[in-house]
Amino acid sequence: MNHLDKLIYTSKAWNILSGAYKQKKTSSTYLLYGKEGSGRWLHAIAFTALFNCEDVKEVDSVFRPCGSCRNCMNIFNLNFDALKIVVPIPPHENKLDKAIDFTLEAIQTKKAEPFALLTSAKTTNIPISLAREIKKSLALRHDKGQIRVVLFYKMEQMRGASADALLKMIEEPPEDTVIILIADKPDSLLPTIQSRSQKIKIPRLASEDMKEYLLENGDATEHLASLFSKISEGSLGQAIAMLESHGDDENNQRAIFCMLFKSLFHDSGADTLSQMNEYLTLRDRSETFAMLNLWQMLVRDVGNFAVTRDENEIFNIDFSADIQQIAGYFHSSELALQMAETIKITLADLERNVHIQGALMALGLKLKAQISSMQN
Amino acid sequence: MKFALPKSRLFNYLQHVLQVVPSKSTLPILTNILIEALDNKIKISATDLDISITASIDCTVIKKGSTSIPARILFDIIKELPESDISFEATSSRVEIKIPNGSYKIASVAPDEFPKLPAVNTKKEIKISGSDLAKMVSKTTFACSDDETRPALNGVLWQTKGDKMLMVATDGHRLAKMSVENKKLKGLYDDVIVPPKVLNLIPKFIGDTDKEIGIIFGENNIIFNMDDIVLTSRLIDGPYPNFEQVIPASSDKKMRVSKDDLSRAVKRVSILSNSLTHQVKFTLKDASLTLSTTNADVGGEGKESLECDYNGDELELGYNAIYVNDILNKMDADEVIFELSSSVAAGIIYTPSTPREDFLCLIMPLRLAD
Repeated sequence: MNHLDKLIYTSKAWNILSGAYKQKKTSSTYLLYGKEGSGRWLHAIAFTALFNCEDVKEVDSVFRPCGSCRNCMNIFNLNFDALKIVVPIPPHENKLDKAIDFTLEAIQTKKAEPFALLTSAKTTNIPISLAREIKKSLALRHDKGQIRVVLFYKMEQMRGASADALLKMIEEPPEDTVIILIADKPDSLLPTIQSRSQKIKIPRLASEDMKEYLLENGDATEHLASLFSKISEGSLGQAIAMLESHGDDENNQRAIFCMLFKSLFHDSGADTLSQMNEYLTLRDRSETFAMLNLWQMLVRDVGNFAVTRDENEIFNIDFSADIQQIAGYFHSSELALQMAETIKITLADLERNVHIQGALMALGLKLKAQISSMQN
Repeated sequence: MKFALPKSRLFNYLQHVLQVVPSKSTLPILTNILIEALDNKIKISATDLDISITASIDCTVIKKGSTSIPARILFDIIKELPESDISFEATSSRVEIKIPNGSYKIASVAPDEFPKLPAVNTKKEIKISGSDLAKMVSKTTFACSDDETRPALNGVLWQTKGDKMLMVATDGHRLAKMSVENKKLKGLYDDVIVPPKVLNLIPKFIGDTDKEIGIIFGENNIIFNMDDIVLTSRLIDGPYPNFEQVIPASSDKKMRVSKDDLSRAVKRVSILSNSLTHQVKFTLKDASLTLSTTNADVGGEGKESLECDYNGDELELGYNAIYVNDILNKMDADEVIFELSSSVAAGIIYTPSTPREDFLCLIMPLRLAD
């Protein structure tokens, strides 16, 4: 539980939750939002434990569950009768039996690794069958002193009938019940749900903390732990996913290349260059080509989307969300043209057997300069 | 923990306990049972969080303790064993089941992981006749709603008023109400809404015997104490709608008809009813009841006439055939009485042998198709 102290109980979000608990002013619905894998899940689970802990501790004016009483043990093991969890499942598997199977699978994943990403299927939906069962069970009276928590993971995946079925529960939550919604962005939810929830942003994790976690909780090398914690944009889940499939999965490599591309826009020039260097020192020449080819396609996708705002124009649909996000930096097609040309020249240089590190260093500097000049 | 008991004794109780164990759950511990070895008896408990059951079984306890193991695996093993003494011995992570010619080992879970079961305080217990309770359950629970947007209607309203005990269930389209007298309830006034799932277990547990059942009305739970088996259920939050308001006062338009004849005729004509509404048209005229249906999808029509005892004006009504037959199935008599007033008002159904106050069903009419 040491990671809870560092990654959860010291966060600004936990401060707000602890403050609400202290003042006995908890909301009936919370919306914890932020990047998947940044600790939204653990904040929700720890908050459930705080409500039901038999021996709440106060450390530096911040309340936290003891982590060792029967209730805490069962809550952190995701085996607590008053904690109901709903996760998105493939839409055609909405029958209660199937919904339970998928939910169990997700719960097992989260039990083994609370930061793990639950993004196996592209199209998923919150199962209405399970949501209805939970609604029925909340209509039953319960033992006094126990706070029931209903956790909806990836709430943005709740659509149509499921959202309608839950709206009344969110509008008029049963007594002693807290609903926790977890989503990437608040504006992906129905306005009626947003307006009834207290929104709390779960911040991205610091790369140093992530690196420490990766080294303590897995068999990552110092080098990989350092690299993945830097390029995963504050998402420990993302870093773990990259680490788990490192070296044996083409999709994983694409994801890493895409993260490196994104870091051009988010991080300082020096950071980007050092991250690229760290990754590619382990790689051969063909992988550098693969990375630059992907970057070219991403630039084209971002440029197209920036102009058309049409999702159908995106070729690399597996990075659709990232592309749409980066498109915010492109105020015209000019930046895309400049970047595409720069990458093209570097590819040509590499064809002529130019030194990889040197070529990439030059490329990184040029791209950063182009992005900066557009931003200014 | 170590104990021994004959296979048949354990198997009988396991059958009961298993009725509460969910086949699947997002909380895997619920597919386990909790076994507690106490002084000369063991307790086997299961819960689906809404309903909990504890069976107390006399046996030889060699060492006290508790553990939790998967219910269905244990049941399947015990079911297939020949009759003999079986002994159970638990270590920290496994339970070993020893039989004369072999042994089985099952992984166990710490009892602390099993949900807390509600406490039973027998001081507040009242006794009621098991057969009365089973009868009330079987006559009412069919009318409960399944619509989660109106949770109170998902349960049976159980009222105790003076020395009367009453059960009501409705889904808004039909209603069933039954009351029995019970002198032991004298002075007790209480209203609780009980999930039908737990009520429907009672007749299975008491069988044909007329033994008394202890009932404890708790703040959040209702407890059924059947001596060796204790069944607990959470109550549904109210309030229950004012059902008295929808039951019309006695009407002089009464139709008396053979229950079996009507039930069979409804079944037949409903084959050609609308597949969504199951509407059957009842036409009452001069001691005759005509049932008719039309189904535009298959281009079919059905019509049958029955003799009945009816002296009122001509009346046309539409009813859902499934609801009519559900109600007729609950009537223990050769004839039934329909009390009617108009084509848009609720109809009341009861038998000549049981006063309307003791058992009646209400059915809402459907708007007749043009």
